[in-house]
Amino acid sequence: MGGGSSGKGGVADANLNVVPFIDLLACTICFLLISAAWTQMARIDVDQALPKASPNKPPTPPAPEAKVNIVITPNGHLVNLWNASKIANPRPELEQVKKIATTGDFKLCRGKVAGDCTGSSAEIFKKYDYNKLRETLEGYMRDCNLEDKTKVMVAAIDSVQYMHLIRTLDIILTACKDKDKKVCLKNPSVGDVNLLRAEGFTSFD
Amino acid sequence: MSVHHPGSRAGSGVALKAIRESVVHGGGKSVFATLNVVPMIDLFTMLVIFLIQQFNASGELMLVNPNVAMPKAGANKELDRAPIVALTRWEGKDQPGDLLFENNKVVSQKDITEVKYPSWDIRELAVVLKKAWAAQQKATGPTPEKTKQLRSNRKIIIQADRTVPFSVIKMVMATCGRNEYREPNFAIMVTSGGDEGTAAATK
Repeated sequence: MGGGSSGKGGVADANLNVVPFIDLLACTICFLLISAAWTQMARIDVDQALPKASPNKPPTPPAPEAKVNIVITPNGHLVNLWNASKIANPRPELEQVKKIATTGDFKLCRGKVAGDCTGSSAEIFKKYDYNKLRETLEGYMRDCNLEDKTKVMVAAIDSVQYMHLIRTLDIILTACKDKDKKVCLKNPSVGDVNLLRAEGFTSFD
Repeated sequence: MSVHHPGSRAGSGVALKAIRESVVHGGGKSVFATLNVVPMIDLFTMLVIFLIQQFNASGELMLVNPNVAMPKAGANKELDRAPIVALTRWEGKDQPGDLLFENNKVVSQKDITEVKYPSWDIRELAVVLKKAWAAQQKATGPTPEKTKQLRSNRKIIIQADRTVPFSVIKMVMATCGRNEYREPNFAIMVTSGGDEGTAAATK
């Protein structure tokens, strides 16, 4: 680096000093690496199941369709397949509410990795049996040959924490009829448990 | 002047033969080797461009409140730009969190009850949502299609802490739905296995 001259005619051999440029690039790289967001965020789309604003009934009642109903309670999941007795492959027993109980507790530490944490940084959550929930949903899809357009309604008791709602929605969106994952449930609706009282749910214990 | 035993010669301590020779014998050959930094600059430049692209794609899209620990899930749909309703940590009824719209506090979660809002319409949130919708109707994009798309976007990001009870979530969803924002998107952190996959089991 550095300038210099040689020869009789005084030919200038001017080299560009690239050291400041390298410094600048190194600083930029350090800044970008430190400030970059390394955690990836995503979204789960849901439909809202709100009570209808209009009291008028539709002119022609639609043909009965199978509908997967899931209620999240503090003690586990309640699941049924409504209208299972009125579809092409009738399975009336699936209209009965199936209980999937929680299997214990687990602890999460706020702002720390899992391990020893106490006080307000420790949070205890119920452990839901999501594998069994997935098996149940996939069983419904196979037994009744459900399509991916099948309606799915998720409701929760007021005290249920948001984490369990998200995890349940995640399981629904990954429950598929086949191993190739070509026909999977999608577009679940989220609403209040009272909307399910007319669809086989008499209690939410 | 007394005679001393001669000490070591200048340059004898230099390890490299070429340099020792140049020091001792005045240097017949130049040993000035320049480092070729051009490939390094190329590499640095590519790295900077890559990092800036990554930063542009994901960074600054969503500000995460430090009191919001979002739940983990395996979903992989990318977040779009939309208004953000945040619900901070719920530490019991004595210490409920807040409801924030675009990082500004709107109401405490303690007040979000069916007793206060029997029709599930949180008035304070409804006011800010109406303002946001009105502002959105004045937005303009680079093309007429983009402008139309911007103005008809009914998505709203619900960024809630994992501890927030469903009673609050359902009322926030209902309020957003009644005030033009009918497509709620739940923001999550991408991790396969969910939160319990990173937890230690308790006895």
